[in-house]
Amino acid sequence: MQRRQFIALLAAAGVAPGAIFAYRQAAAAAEWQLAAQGGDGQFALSGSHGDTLRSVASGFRGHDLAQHPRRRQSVLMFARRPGTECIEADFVDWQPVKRFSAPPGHSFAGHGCFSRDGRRLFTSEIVNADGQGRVGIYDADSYQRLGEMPTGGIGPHDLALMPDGRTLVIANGGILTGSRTDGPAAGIDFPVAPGREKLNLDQMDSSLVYLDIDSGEITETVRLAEPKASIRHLDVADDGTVAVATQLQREAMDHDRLVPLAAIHRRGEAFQPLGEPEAVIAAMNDYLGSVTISQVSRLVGVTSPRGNLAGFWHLDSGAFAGHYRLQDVCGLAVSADHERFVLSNSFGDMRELDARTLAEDTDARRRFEQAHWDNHLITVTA
Amino acid sequence: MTHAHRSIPGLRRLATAALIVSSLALAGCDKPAPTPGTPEALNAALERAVDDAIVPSIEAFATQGRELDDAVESFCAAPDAEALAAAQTQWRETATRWNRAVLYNFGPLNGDIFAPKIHYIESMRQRGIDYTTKVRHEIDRQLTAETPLDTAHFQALRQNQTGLLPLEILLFESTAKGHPQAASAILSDFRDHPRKCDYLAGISDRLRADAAYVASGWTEAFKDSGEPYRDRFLAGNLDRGATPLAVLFTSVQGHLDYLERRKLDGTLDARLADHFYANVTATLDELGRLVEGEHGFLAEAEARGHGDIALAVRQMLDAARQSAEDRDRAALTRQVETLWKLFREKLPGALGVDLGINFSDGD
Repeated sequence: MQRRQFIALLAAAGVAPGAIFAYRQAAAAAEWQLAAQGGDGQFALSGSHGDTLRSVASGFRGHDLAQHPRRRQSVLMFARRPGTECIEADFVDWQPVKRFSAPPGHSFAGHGCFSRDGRRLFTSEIVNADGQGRVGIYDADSYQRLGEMPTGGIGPHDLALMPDGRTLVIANGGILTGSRTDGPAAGIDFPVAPGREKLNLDQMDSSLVYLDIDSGEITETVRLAEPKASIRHLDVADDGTVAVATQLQREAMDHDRLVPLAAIHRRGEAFQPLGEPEAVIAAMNDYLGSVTISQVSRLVGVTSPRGNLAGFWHLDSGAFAGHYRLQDVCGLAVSADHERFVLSNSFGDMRELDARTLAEDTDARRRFEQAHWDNHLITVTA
Repeated sequence: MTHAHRSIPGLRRLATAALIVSSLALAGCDKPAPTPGTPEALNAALERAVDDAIVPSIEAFATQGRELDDAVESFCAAPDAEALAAAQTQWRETATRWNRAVLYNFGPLNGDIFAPKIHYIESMRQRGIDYTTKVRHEIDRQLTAETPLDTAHFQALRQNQTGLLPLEILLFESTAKGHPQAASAILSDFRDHPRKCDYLAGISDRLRADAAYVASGWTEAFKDSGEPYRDRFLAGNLDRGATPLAVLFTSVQGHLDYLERRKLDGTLDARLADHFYANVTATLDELGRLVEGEHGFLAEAEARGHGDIALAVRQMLDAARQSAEDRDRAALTRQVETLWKLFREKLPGALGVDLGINFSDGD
């Protein structure tokens, strides 16, 4: 039953308006975990709270989500590349609010974030013709496109606003994806149409870029030691420390050594790879799907659905803190108070770990058989 | 769940008795086979796979590991050409059995992420790295060292110094310059270095113990659960949010991926024993045993209207076996890659087995 129907029923039954208001307040105060629902073509924005599962049909496969800073009941879900759609939905009423699309010739890369004042929305976008990265700038109310800025690389993916409120940090994956077409495209020696085939692994160039949101100036660019590590996802701590998660393009590498999959970056410094313990890195099978920082424990967590494994490191020391095994684990969020890591998979499992001790709260285990959660998980409260 | 069982032993005994009674009752009549294409039929196919393929393969490897240890003991007691040949033959048999069991890289084989048994048995399985040079150096060092070669020494060895690779090096080549492989050279090497047999025996004993651990985990008690992993697996009590079928197919496709990318397209192993292609054949045979049968996974795929996929698996298995027999590395590489795709996507899809969106198609 939808919340509105429930409220209507309460009203029809003569329940006092105060009680209805109390219910609405409780629903808004509740902590929800939201994710894109994939699989079976039943694409949706899906959320769970306790034993409750809700969803809003999206009509496209989403990737990451972002809560609207000024409309706290709203959340945006961005299409997985090379999709072109974005939906705003109300997670208290569980209704779609608005939809908008990337401009012609662009694809969304699955991620977006808001300016500090909540007036502008920034999305990671790919120019289909040549894979070049753009930050799309939108009015956060009308979703009218205000402009764009180059990301300084090919195949941008995740992005986030730095604590200074003026700088975006962007993961340029460095991989040109698409499908070859019959006609030529500018800037490259073969034509490209939207798609997911990797076309430039020999020349891939991944980078982490810091970009001024007002001028569009790239103020810092850093690269990992391993050129075939594609920086895909990132999270930012309160003090500006950035954690990144990568996906290795092993087939394009000229060696077979174990390579750290996650790293820490502080402005003006080189990356600090999280390379130990080797057994955990090896078990992650060259692939990380998500990265999240707990601001209270300063632990950074990463997930590897190809290793069925989550790993956690101390943000400041880089020391390994622990691991957790879960089949197909990919979604990784922190609770609203950052005291818990929350993990999800596409089988509808939700697990909670103490963000300081990494001990699992087994009482909080839940499985939603009808849920097929995709890549990312976020926590919201209205 | 486990603790609840332990704390109520009477209830557990009652449940066991009920299970025995119901099993006897079922044995007394013809239990109808589940209707093909139903969840019950898929569960039956899984149970058949566990009891007719997985557990027998794990146990056969443990048996061969024990017999290899016995052959090594016989050789060291009387190191002559006949005993060496017997030990070499037994190494090949153990490797053959291992290359069947290695498909099942879950449960007891990798229950400890920091020290998974699979890596102690086949060091190359870690990263596709050939540790032959490192093993040779360590053997050379130990032949002249004075530290005791006791159980503690072998229990403390790193994963790249244990298992089938050092046993192959010890049994199939001499430590002399150029590493000659003639039996006479190997025998004189053992005569010249009395500690070499101690080292061989220690490594062999470690392999026997690791293989026995894996087998007992499947059939007696897995870690501290008090239950055989077989029972936990079939009951879906995996504690990892996974279904048994997803775990099985994830493991199988993972090994095919490893075989194609790390070995066939990388470094062949078992070369001293000239046994690489025999090992691949063993893996292919095990795959066939896993999926074939009257109520097996391929029959179930056919019942669900995916005869084309079942046929593709059978044809590719046959072609790969032929390529292994012909030692046609290029063709075998392509065929194993095709098998990988079939076991990663097509066959699980035909059976309605979900390996996970993020595992299969992440971003």
